[in-house]
Amino acid sequence: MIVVHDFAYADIGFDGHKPPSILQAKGAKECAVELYSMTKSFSMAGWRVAFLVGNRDVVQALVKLKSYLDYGTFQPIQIAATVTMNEAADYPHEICAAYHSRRDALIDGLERIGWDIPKPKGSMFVWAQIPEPYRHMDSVEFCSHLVREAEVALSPGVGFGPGGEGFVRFALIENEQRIRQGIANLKRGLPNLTAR
Amino acid sequence: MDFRRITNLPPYVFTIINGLKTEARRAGVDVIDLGFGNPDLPSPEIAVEKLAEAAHNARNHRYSVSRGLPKLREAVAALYKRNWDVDLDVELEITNTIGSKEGFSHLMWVLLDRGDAAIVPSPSYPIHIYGPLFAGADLRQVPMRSLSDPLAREDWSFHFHTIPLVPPLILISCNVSSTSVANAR
Repeated sequence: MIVVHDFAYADIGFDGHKPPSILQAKGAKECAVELYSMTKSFSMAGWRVAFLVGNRDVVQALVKLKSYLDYGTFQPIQIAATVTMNEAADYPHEICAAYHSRRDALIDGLERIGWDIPKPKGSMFVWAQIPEPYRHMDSVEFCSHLVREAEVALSPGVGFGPGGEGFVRFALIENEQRIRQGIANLKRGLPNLTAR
Repeated sequence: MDFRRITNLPPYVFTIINGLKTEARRAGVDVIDLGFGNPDLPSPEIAVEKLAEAAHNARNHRYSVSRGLPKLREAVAALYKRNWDVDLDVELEITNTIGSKEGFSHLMWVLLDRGDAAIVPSPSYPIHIYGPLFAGADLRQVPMRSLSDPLAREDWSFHFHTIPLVPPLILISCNVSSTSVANAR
């Protein structure tokens, strides 16, 4: 058995939580590989720079397959990525701090309007169970309702498979002011919540 | 025309919400979009500078190396040492990929064949479901629980007993949400 760990939010951990690499586990290199991406850690979405690391047989098998498929990422991007990892090693901490304060703005705000969600320990997303007064709706219906009545777009949990039904996902991709505006909108669009 | 890998793909549910959003925006409504996980924070200044500088050098206007320049792989090894105290062999244990999705999709081609299965948490990113399916393999989706659920920490051991383990098999994990940050460990 091979374990594939998609380590997309490697550097986005909150409240002292540091996401572990699977390769820290004893014997991991015998059975595990990990994908590390610069997209979130260095906010380089669209640059298309990621890595497969770990078990050498698996890594070399992918190298061989890819040698038939591509000639690599455009070299200036590889050079820029190299220098960034070496010389902007602290940048992921800044990114993490930004997502951290957005998470707090969102969750504290939702709590005030009567929508309680446990604080996630990492990533740039917050998953929320559909609040009690609205559980007759599935996640697509609930999200459609929110676009129409609250002017806020969220991702329906079912988009991530049947295990996501009953939940919605917030992405922390707007600044705190915009998040607060979103919460005010949600309060208006969800009148059956009991505000604190 | 009928294309084996394309015809049975379900509609991407995010397009439903996106359609409503686009419609509302066209009508002049300022919809706050917290749906699509498209990072808004800028790339580091040094990345942009080096990209511009290297792009002006004609020597860089050729095909590069699929697995990544040696210095790039060395930078990854240094980053893993620094962040997680993990030692990686620069020659054998690291390869560049054209983003995670490219790496993941082709990795599924490497690892899986018809009759194989991938264990994938649910919820998960669509690519973790369709990557194995495109490679011709089967899926075993394992429900994850919310952090507030007292059973959350027993999740994996509990479900493993219920999954018919047909080797060869791969397990895919990702901290897609608060849920799996707790469980993937």
